[in-house]
Amino acid sequence: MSGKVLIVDDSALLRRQVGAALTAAGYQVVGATDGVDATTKLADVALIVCDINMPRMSGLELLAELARDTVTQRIPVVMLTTEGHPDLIQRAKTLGAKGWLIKPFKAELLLSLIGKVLA
Amino acid sequence: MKVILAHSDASTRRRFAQWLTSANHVVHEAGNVAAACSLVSQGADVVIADWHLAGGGASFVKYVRSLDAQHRHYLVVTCGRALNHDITAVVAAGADDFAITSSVTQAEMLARVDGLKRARASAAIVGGSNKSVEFGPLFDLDKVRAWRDVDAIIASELGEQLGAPLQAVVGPSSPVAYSGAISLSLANEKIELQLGIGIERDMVAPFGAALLDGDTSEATLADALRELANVAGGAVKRGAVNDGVSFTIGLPSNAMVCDLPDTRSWYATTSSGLRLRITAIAWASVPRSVRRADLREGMVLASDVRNAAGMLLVTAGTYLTSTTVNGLDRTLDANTPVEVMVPMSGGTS
Repeated sequence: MSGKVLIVDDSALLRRQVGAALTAAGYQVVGATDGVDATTKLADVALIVCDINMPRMSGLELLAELARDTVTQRIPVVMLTTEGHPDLIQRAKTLGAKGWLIKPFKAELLLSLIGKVLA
Repeated sequence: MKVILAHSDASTRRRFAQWLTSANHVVHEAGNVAAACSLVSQGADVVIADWHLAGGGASFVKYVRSLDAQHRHYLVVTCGRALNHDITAVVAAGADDFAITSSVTQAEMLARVDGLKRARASAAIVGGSNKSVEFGPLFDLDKVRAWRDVDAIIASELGEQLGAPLQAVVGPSSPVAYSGAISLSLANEKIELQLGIGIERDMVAPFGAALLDGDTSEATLADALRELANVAGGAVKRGAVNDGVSFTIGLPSNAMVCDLPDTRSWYATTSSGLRLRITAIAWASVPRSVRRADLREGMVLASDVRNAAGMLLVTAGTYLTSTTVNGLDRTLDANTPVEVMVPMSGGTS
């Protein structure tokens, strides 16, 4: 596996755990603390793993922001969140999200989902 | 129903308006306070107003409430995201309910607007349609299984996060050294829940070893406990949906309620001896006045606290830490009244 994955979550613990799983699988990783921070780190990003509830800019707001630009709208986004309401999942899908995992995550499920999305 | 929708962001307004019209509500839109006031003066069943409406959402909420004697509008206030101080300020300003713009779904928004029907039905049952009714903390939390069984849910969820099964154990507790907490709100019922996850001093090293590659710096511990609280809160929120209850979840903090009489407290332990202190408490979002001398760590301020000269000391919505309480001890007379939120069984009904 290769490619740079941007992990967007206000929790350093979560960024660390996801980062460890992805690095072990051969991905390069970079972290962002919320949607605003993420918008400054999109260069060469192959995929984004993104939380929903974050300060300053939420995951859904980031999806909407990515969709406004013809370049960034091509970056696939996988949501990783404690939320699980079907309406919220549908809204993320409408905004362009390619997958949804509920925390606490299992590394093998996340890697499998990322592999499918990038295939 | 006739709904006034006041929001400065046109795309958000359009989205909400589509949801509402699809449910056969008649929607009138306003993009600022002046337009919204003009619409409200003509009357409506429900007003949905953004807390950050151009021209001053808080002023608009107060204006709507000032019309109560002539016509009481059912008022749903939206805010960008769930910050505890926002939610408290919104409810304190007179909102009947609130929604978080960044995460609200169509079903949730329609359910919140339908709160008017539930309020009318309750008013009719209690005292006839002409009688004004104050809606207190009457909601029975025990019917929410995710709250009733919160110890099992937390053990399961955090066990996954830690990679080791957890057992819920009740036992005598010591003061926590580090903590994380998350709030869940049911604003229509004026109820707020808080879940706290803490570690005592002797657990700092085992916790760091189990979860943080041995890092036990204060910032790392605080962040990890916030995330554990976030995971626990998310699990309760998802579980409550099965009982038809839709909580709004806030952002995690590090202010955990520990020592109030109505706090449920237990340990989640692993077979290797790691021990997390868990607390759960339900608050009625109804302010109660207490003496400054009776303030305790973990209480939530219901209104701003000012000194005798009127200078703002601490804002509404703040979870009191020992530092804050000590600071107020030095600044305010012991008998100065302070408005705080009180636990569900603390005699507010």
